[in-house]
Amino acid sequence: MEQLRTIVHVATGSREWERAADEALAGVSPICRLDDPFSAVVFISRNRANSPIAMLIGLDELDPDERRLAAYARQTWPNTPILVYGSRVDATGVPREATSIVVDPRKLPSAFRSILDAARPTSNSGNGDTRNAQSRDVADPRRRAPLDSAILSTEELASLLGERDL
Amino acid sequence: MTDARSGFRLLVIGSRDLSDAACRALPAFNVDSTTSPLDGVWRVANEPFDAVLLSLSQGERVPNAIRTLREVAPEARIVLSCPPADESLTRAFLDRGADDYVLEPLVREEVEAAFRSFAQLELPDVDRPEAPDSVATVAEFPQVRAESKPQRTTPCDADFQSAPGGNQLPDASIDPSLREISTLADIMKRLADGAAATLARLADWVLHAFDARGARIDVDGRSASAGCMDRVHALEPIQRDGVLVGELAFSFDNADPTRNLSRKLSQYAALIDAVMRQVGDQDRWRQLAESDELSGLANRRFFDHRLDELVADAMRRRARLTLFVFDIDNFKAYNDRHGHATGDALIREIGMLMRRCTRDGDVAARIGGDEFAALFCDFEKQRVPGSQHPIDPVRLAERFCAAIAAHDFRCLGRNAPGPVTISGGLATLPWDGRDSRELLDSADRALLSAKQSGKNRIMLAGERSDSPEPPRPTFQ
Repeated sequence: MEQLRTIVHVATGSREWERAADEALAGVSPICRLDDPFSAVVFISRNRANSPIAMLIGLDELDPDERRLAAYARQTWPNTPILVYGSRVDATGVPREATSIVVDPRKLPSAFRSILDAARPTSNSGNGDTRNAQSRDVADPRRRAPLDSAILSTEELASLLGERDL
Repeated sequence: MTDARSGFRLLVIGSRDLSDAACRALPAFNVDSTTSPLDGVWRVANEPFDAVLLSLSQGERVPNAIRTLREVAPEARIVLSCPPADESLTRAFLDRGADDYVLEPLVREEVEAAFRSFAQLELPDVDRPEAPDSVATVAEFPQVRAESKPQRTTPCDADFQSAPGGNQLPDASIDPSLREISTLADIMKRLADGAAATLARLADWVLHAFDARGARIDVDGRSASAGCMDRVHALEPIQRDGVLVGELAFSFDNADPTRNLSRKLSQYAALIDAVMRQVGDQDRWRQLAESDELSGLANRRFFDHRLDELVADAMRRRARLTLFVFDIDNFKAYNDRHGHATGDALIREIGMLMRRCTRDGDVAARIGGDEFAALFCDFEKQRVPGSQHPIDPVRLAERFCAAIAAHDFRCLGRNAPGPVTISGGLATLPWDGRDSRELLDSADRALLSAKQSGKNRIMLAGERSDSPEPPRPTFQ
C-alpha cells in the first residue's frame, strides 16, 4: 500500500471542536478537509490503495450510524492512525477502531502531535505502517495500555467505555 | 420467463418494511438492505450494486447520499421512495442525481417500471404470483418501456385511475369532467367578487374534482380551504412563469387515491394559477376604472355608485351616514400663481391627507377639479327616535382640517400665498336627506354656505351662513 502524504480531516465536530482542530492542524500540510461523512466515504473508497498519514474525525455532528466512518477507514487502511474527537462521546458511540480519542479540546493539539510523531518514522519507510509507533506513543482504546496523559486518563477512558471489553 | 435471480442487485436504504416491500415487488432482483444512508454509500462503493432504492425518510442526509451514490456508482440506477406528501420535494431530487421515484406504500407496477427498463428484464406477464397485501396488485402489467432512462413513473402517465378489473384508463381520464368544467365556468363568471371569494370557490371545486376529504389552496399570499384538511397526502406547487407562487394540498380518506395524481395535480395547479391571474387582472382594471389617477382617491363614478349603495343600506338598517364635501380655498389662485403642476401636486397631497384621515370602510373621492368628498359610515349605534345629529363625523372633519393646517405643502415653495385651507359642508342621513341626491345637495349647500361665510370653515347642513358666531371649526 502506498502512503498518501496527506492528513485527512473529517471536519464534523462542533464549532468549538473545529476551532481547536484548525489550531492543532495549523502549519501542517497537506490536509484534505472533508466536511461531511459522505464525502469521507467517497474519499476512502477512491484511495483504497493509498493510506493517508493520519485521519482525524469529529464525532459531535455525526449521527450514531455515521460513526462507522472510523470502521470504514480502519477496514481500508489498517495501519493509519485515526484520531477521533468530540464532547458527545459516550460508551456506545466510541468507534473502537480509533487509535486515539480526545474528549477535551485543549488536549487536541498534543494528541495530534502524538499521532504525527508516531506516524513519522514509519512514513519515511513508505509503507504507511504505524503500528509500532502507536503502541509506543499513542493511546489505543483497544488495548489496556497506559494512556498518554494528553489524550485520556485511565479514569476518563474507563468512564467512557464502561463495561466494554477493550 | 427470465430466471428471477438473474444477478441484478438492488440495495434498499430505508426501513425494514420498505426492504420487504421491495423484495415482494421485485422478485427478479437480489435485494440487500441497510437503514443507514452512509452505510449504503459505503456498500455501493464496495459491492457491485446495479440499483439503489433510497427512502426519503432518511431526512436531510438524502441529498448527500444521492450525490455520493452518484459519485461512487455512476451507472447505478437511483430511485427514491417517498410518501405522497413529499412528492414535490422528491421531484427536486431528480435534478440532483436521482433517476426516478416511487410513492409509498410501494405498488408493484410502479416499482417495476422504475427499475425494469434499467435492468431490461423480461418480467413475467401472466404467471406472476399473487402479491402480498402490502403490495398493491394490478391485473395487467403496463407496457415495458424500451428507453434506457424511462420517463418518470410517478406522475404516472396513463394510470391516474384504474377501471374496474384493473385496466388503465387512457390519458383523457385525467381531464376535467363536464361537471368540473361547468363549475369552473361559473367561478369565472363571478371573478368580480374578488380574489378571496374566487379562491374559496376554487378550493371547493378541487375538493370535489379530486374526491378529497380536504383541499387547501395557498396562492399569492391568500389561502382558502374546503372540507377537512387535517393531514396532507398530496402537495402540488403552483408556479407562475417558473416562479413558485403557492401550493395546492389535499387530504384523502384513503391514501391510495394519491398515487399517480401528479399529472392531474399539475393541471389543476395551472388552472388555479390561470384563474387567479384573471382575478388579478380584473382587480387592476377595476381599480383603473374606479380611481382618480391624480389624487389616488376614488373617482366620481365610483363615488356616485357607492353613495347610492350606502344610502340604500343605511336606510334599510336605520343607520347614520354622513357625507362630507369640501374644496380647496382659492385653488384657482394657486394654479394661476404657481402653475398647473403645482395645482396637481396640491391635489395629490390633499388626497394623501384624506387617505390618512379616513378609516377602512369610509369612502374618500375626488369628485371635481378641486372638490373632494368623504362618506363616513357606521359611526354610531342604530338611530333611535329623538336622536340628534351625530358628532363623530364632525370630529373627523375637524381632524382632517387640522391635518391640512399642519401640513407643510412644500410644493408651493416659499412664495405661497398663505396656509392651504378648505371649506366644507357636512350632511347626515336621514336628517339632511332621504336619498343620495338630497344628501349631496344638502352637503353642497353647506359647503356654499361655508364659502359665503368667509371660507376656511366647515358647516353643517342647515346651518345659516349669516349666523352670528362662526361655525366650528375655524382655522386662522
